[in-house]
Amino acid sequence: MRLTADQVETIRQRIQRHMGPHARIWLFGSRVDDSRRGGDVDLYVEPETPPGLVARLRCKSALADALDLNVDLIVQQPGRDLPIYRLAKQSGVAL
Amino acid sequence: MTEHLKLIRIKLDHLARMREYLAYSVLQVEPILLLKDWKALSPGQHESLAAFRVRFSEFQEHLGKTMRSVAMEEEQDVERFGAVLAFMERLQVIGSAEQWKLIRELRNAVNHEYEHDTARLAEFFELMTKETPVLLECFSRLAEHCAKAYGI
Repeated sequence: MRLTADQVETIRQRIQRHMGPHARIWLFGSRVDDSRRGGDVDLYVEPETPPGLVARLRCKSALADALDLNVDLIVQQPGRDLPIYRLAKQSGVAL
Repeated sequence: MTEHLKLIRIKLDHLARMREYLAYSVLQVEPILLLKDWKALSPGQHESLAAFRVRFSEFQEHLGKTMRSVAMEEEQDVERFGAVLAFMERLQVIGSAEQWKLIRELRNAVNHEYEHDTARLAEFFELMTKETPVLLECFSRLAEHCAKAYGI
């Protein structure tokens, strides 16, 4: 995984602030591959309580600002089971 | 007038035209927002939503570029857009950098995550109509600053 401990803590704090302290987070995509360089930070979140649109947008903006990196944030929607959710959990790393 | 100021004038004129189109799109979309069932929208209604999405996005993007040009004219740091936003906040062109970033994220989301879930789609458009007056006000303040500061 190509994130520092500080970056992981930053991600946890920002997401828990917007989506509840028990929100579950996975890093997936190119940042889990140690042989690659750069790349966006792809995150999948199962929130404690489903955030509204504004909270989700603010969370993404706060993450991008804090990390100074492009962030792609996928938030599980209640009652939906999209293939990307399974892919993120299977190929990703829980933070 | 310098070439750079002429360029800013052209950008402001373009934004003024875009503002009219965006305001028209809002009028077209508002009645659609009142509908409870978005599953049965007509092709014409989808067309109105699509036009609004494009006009909102283009206006936000063009306004951001014009703000950067004004910051450049004032010899501010424009390498990072955050610095441009901080300067625009000081000029009171934008209410806050946070609000601008929310609108920018909304623009990105509505273009890259275009929703097929009608309830979520309606949520996107409701927020866009709510934020449109904010964008229009930012433009008015930027134009006002340019008129006062540069006489353009």
